[in-house]
Amino acid sequence: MCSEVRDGTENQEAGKIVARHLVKDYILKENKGLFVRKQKKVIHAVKDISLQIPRGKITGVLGINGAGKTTTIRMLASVIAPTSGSLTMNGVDAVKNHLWVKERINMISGGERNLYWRLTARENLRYFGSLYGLSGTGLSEKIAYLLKIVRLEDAADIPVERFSKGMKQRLQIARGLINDPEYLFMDEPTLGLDIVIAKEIRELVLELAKKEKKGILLTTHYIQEAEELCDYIYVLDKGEIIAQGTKEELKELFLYKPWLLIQVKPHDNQNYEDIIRAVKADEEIDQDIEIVTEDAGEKIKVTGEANTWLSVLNLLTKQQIEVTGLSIQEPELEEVLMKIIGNSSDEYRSVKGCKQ
Amino acid sequence: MKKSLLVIKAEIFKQQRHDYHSAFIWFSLLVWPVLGFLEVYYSYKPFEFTGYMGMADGKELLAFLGTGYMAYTCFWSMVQNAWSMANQERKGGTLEITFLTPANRLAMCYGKALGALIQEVWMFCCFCVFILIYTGTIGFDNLIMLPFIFLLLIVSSTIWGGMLNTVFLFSRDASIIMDIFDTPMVLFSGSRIPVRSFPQWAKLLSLIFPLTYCINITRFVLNVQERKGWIGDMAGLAVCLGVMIVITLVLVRKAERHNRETGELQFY
Repeated sequence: MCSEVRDGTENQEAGKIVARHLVKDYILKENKGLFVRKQKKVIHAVKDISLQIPRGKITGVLGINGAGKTTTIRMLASVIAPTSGSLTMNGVDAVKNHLWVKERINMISGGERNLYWRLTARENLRYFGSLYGLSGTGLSEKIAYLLKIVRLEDAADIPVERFSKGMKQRLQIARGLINDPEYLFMDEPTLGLDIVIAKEIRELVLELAKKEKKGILLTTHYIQEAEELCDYIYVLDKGEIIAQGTKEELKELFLYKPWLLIQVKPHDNQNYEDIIRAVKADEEIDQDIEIVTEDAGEKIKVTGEANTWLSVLNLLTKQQIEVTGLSIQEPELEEVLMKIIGNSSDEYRSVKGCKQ
Repeated sequence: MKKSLLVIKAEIFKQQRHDYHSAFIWFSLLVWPVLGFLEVYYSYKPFEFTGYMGMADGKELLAFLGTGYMAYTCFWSMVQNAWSMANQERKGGTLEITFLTPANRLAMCYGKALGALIQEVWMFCCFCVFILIYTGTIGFDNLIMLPFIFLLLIVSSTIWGGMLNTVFLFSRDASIIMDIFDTPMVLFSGSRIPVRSFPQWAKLLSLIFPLTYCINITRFVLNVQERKGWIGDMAGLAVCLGVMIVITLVLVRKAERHNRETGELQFY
C-alpha cells in the first residue's frame, strides 16, 4: 500500500479523485408471485461516467430524479463498487483499497437519517470519531471545534431527536468532518431546509473548499445552489454525463449569452414594431431583436455579440427614440440545464477539454 | 488492536445510551426473564417429588433451571439484539454510515454483541446468582468459580452474537434466524431438560449449540448435576467457538463484498 500511495502522490493524479468510464449495473429480481420463479433483470444505473474531483474545488453533479446522481456519489465514496471502470484517489486504486480511501473521505446526505437520535450531538460525534480510531483529548477537542463551526455548542448535550431539521443537518456536517477528510461527498445537503439555514450551510461548504482545501462533490436539486457554489458542473441524465463545464461554459455551450434589454418611449405616432423595423432595416446591425413583455411593460431585447449592442443604441438615438432604461440580463443556469436535459436524447455535447 | 478496542468500547457506549437509557427499560430487562424463569420453574415443580429428571427436591430443580436459564438468557439476548439493532440501524441509515468508515468490521460486530450482553443480562444474572446462593449451589467453597462462569458466558455469547450480527448484514429479512434458533436452542441445549434424557438423535443435535457446552460446564463447576468431567465439554465448546469465529470472519468479508455490489445496506 505504501509504495502504491507514494507512487500515486507523485503522479499527475495527486490531489484529486479521478473516475474513468464508471459503470454500475444492478441485478433486479422481478417478483411475479410467490411460487413463480423470479426473473433477473439488469438495471444500468450508471452507464459511463468519467469525472474528476480536485482538492480545493467544488464539483457539482446535477440531474433530474433517476439520472444516476446518488449511485455515482455512492460509487465515488466507495460505498458501492463499480461494475467496471476505474476509480483512483490521489493515484491509488480506490476500488481495491476502499478501506484506505474511507479514512480520507466522508459523505453527508440531506435528510434526517444517518444519526443516532437518542444520542446527543456530542455522543454521536464521539461514536463516529471512535470508528476512525480517534480518542481522548484529541477527539474531545475536535468535537468541540466541530460543534463550534456548525454552531451547535449550546445544543451539544441535547439528544438529536430534539433537534430541528436544520440542526440535524448541521450535525451531519460535523459528523462528515470528524475524520478531517480530504474529500467530502455531499448528497443534497440543503434538502428541505429553509433559506436561512441553507445559506449558512452553503457558506460553510464554500469555506471548506476554499480555506480548508477539501475536494467537494455536491449533488443538488437546487440550481441556484450549484450556480453559487460549483467550480465545475457535470450534468447527468439516464446514467450518463450529457454536459460538463464551468457554469459559464455551460451557458456558452448552449448559446445562452447575455442580452440587452432596452426600455424605450415611442413617439406618439410610433409603436415598438416600427422601432424594430427601423433597427432591422439598418444594414450595419445584424442582431436578433425582439419585443419581450415584462412586468414593467414592453421592452426591446437585443441578443448577439455584446460589442455590437452600441450600434443599436446609436441608431435609436439617431432616430430620436427616447431610451428610458437599460439592463443586461444573464440566463439562469436552470434554463440552461432544462435545455441540456431536453436535448440530451438528441445529441451528446461537451465542452472541449476538462479545464480543472 | 488499539483501534479495534476503541470500536468495541464505542459500540458498548452507544448501545447503552441508545437502548438502555431509562430506569423502566432496566426494570423490564429484569422482570421479563424472571417471569419466564418462574413460569418454567412452576411448570416443573409439580414433579419435584417424583424424582423426575433426577432432581431430588425443589432446591435442586431451582439450581438446575437457574444455571440453565442464566446461560440461555445470555445467548438469547444476542439473537434478539442482532435483530433489533440491525433493524434500527438500517432504518436510521447509520448501518451504511458505519460501513463508510474504515473501522474494523469484526470489532463492530463483536462490540454490538458485547454491548447488548452487558446491558441486557447483568440484572438477570444477579437474580440467578441470588437463586444459586439461596439454593446453596454457590457457597464459600465455589464462590471463586463465579468469575470463571461469567467469563465463559460472556466470551461464548459474544462470539455467538458476533456471528448473528454478521448474518444480519446480508439481509434485513434475516429475522427468520430468531425462529430457527430460539426453540431448538431452548429444547436441545439442556437449559430446561437434561440432555441425557434425550433420545440419541436429539443428543447429537444438542452438540451443535455452544449453549449446550456452556450449560454443562456451568453445572459441572457448580456441582448442580453429576457429570464425569468437563474436558469433553470444554473441547466441544472450543471447537464450536472456533467454527463460529471462522464463519464470522468469512461472513463479514462476504457481507462487505455483497453490499458493495448490491448497495443493499441502505434498504430498510
